[in-house]
Amino acid sequence: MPTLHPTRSLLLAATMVASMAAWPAAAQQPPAAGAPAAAQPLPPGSPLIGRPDSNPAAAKLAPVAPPPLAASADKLPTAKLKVPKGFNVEVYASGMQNARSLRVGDKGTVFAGTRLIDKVYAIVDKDGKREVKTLYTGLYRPNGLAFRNGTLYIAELSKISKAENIEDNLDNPPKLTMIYDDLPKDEAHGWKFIGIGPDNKLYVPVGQPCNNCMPSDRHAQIRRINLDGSGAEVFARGVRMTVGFDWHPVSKDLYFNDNGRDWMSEDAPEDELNRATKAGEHFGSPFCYQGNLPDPEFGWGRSCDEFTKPVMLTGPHSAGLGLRFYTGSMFPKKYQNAIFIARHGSWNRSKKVGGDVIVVYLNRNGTVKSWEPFLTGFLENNSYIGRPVDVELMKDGSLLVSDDWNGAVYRISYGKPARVAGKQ
Amino acid sequence: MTAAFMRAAAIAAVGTFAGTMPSWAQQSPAPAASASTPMPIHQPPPTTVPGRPDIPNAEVNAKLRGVAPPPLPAPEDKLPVAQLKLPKGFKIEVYASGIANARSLRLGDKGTVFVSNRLLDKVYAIVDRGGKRDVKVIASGLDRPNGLAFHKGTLYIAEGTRISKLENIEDKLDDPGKPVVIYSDFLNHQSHGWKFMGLGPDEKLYVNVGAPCNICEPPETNGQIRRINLDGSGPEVVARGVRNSVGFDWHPVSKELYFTDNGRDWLSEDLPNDELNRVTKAGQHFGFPYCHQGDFTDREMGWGRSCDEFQKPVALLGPHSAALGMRFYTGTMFPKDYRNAIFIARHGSWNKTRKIGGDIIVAKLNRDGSVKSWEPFLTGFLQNNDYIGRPVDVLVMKDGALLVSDDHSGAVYRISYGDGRVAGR
Repeated sequence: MPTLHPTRSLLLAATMVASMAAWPAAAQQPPAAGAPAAAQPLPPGSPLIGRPDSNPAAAKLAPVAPPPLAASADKLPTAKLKVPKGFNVEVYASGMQNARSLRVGDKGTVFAGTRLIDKVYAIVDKDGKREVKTLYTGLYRPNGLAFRNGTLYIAELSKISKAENIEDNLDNPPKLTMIYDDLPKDEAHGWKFIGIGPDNKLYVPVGQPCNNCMPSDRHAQIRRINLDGSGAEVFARGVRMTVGFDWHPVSKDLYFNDNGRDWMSEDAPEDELNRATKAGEHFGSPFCYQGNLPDPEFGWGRSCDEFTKPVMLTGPHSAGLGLRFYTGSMFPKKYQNAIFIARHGSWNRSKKVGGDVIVVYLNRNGTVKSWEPFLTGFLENNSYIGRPVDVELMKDGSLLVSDDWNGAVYRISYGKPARVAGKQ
Repeated sequence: MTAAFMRAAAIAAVGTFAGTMPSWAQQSPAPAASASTPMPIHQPPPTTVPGRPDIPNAEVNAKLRGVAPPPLPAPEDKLPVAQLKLPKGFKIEVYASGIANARSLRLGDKGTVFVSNRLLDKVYAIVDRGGKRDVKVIASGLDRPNGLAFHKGTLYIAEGTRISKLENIEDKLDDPGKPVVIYSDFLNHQSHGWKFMGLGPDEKLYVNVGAPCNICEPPETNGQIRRINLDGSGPEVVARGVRNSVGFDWHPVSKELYFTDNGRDWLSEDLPNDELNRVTKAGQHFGFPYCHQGDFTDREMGWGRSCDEFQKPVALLGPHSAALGMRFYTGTMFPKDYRNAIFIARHGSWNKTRKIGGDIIVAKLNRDGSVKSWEPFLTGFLQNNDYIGRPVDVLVMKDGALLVSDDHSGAVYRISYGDGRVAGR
């Protein structure tokens, strides 16, 4: 474990205090005044473990803390955002601090999870005017959401709960019923994205509890469970941290993002888009990253050929998070069954990449044909003015994008001037 | 950079280091061994290499040790010629054997083939007398005399910390005298301390000055290719950011310098690749220690840097493959598509559990000097993840045949095409 340089530990302390609601309480203690800074060890799972010593450029890199409050609607950067010709982007809802994963209910309610705070929001559209309700509060990292047959599923750090008939009770939501909690409690990569597969099972990832380490049998995987919490099984292994997945509309294969390790290079490894064609595949972490790079610590004596390779590389440290297949009919035909991916944007890189939504076009056999930027403009002069986390497809074929930096959700539509249903 | 500035910088650097000398600079100059006492074979243990991760698996660890050659050269009948493979129409035979640790090759005007050492202390001459080849020791007691160049009757020898010469060498192979030192402005370091040397189209001596480490910020005087006049004057830096080049040559038409550079160790089984580089302007920086293989920054030294600051390689030659000696093919014996192609000896990996390299590859260029493709040319030295030979350097003979040195077996092979026969045999 690296020992800390005095100036660096000051920086680190500042970083922790400022940014990390995500940190365990023990890690949030600033060093006692006058304490010898060099002796401060990094807390387990700290994203700064592995940072090389005595490198001034590396010392500047740490996870980027969002503003403390959600931006007001008139301060959102909508005017600076760019989409391809013919598309429009507008604010769908704002004022939802740390808005993360998105799910739409059968009756049109849009749910948004959070990671750094304790809330789940509901956005209700009433004749073109959207109302934001705080549906649940006091939850612990409720990042993951899923919806099926009227029931909302919420994944906190180490448990999954459900709320039945939620759309009929938005003003008086039922008490959550816990359905599954056989999960590690690690903070590092502990928050979850969840989704319900075509097999009617709930898919639940368990991240690698570190930047780069040998995970236990319970970590670095995607599990699936029945909707009542029973029948848990491991679906995919060697997954460092996936915060977004979806199923191909035709083949029903699972496609998932996986975030590559830090502190290896400004440029390597790249994040991965993976495809699971059957249960039980291993996707490499921590032995092999990006399908062709044996890890500096754990890769010796291993070969990337032992593992399922990614179908696409999505950029170094770019933090590919939420993804959805586009199955709507509003966008031009070439977007049919393409994948929209929210890239949250890098921190472990001097020159940031990501902070956008990209679109990935597939071949008929499910491999990737090409990809291109779709929504850009959140990254200005190497700083974020917004950070996309998830995308969600609406019934009318428009695409929602969440932004945990500003606490907002945007709506992207195609064709005549942006029109939210009911607003004329 | 002017010669005077370069020299001043070198002196300043040496002066600065006197105060805070890193350990690699503190080694005293190698003792002058007597001609009868061979220098010991030194393989620095890899555990001392910076950047090496802790690998708990002993079996894996054992596969990642440096590969020591056999202590003695193989007798001619034990050489692995029968197991070597070439494209159709080519054949290979033993040119000379019994040359322990045979490394760099140079051809004299009168047909003498000079062979150097890295782990031992000698320079050899192979003399062809009517098809029978004599091997003579022409210098011994030297310190890692890996680099050789030949110009107008004079053989230049680059040791760990000096360059010397033997004039009219082909006329006095049996009594060559003592090499005369012409240049010695080098730091002494074990890691990458041996030199490759060549004579440029500008009639200057080019010599690599390797990085004194696996990965580190090298001193100003290191991590470069330098050139000097034939009398040792006027040193200047031709290329920077070079980790360790043990092979270079000049394009027969453009006269541009192409050089191999060995990537760092202990980063990954499969990264970084060794590089083939091309110098289009003196003073260019090729990335070390900040950027490897032109597309990713280093784990320790690369933060805040971008590979776009540096010259990118023209070809990647395989991870840890140890691409060493290289020559443009200017002969006429081989088929036409080999003309002006580059033959590269890949010594073979040690920092990789499944070895690669241990072969000769051929890189074919486009008209604009970029690399069109490369492919294996001579293979078979790597059998069941072990070396039965390791190519170090190549040399184009006057008749168009290609010689290959092998420091594992202590031999030199000759590759010919068609009915090309060993002269006189």
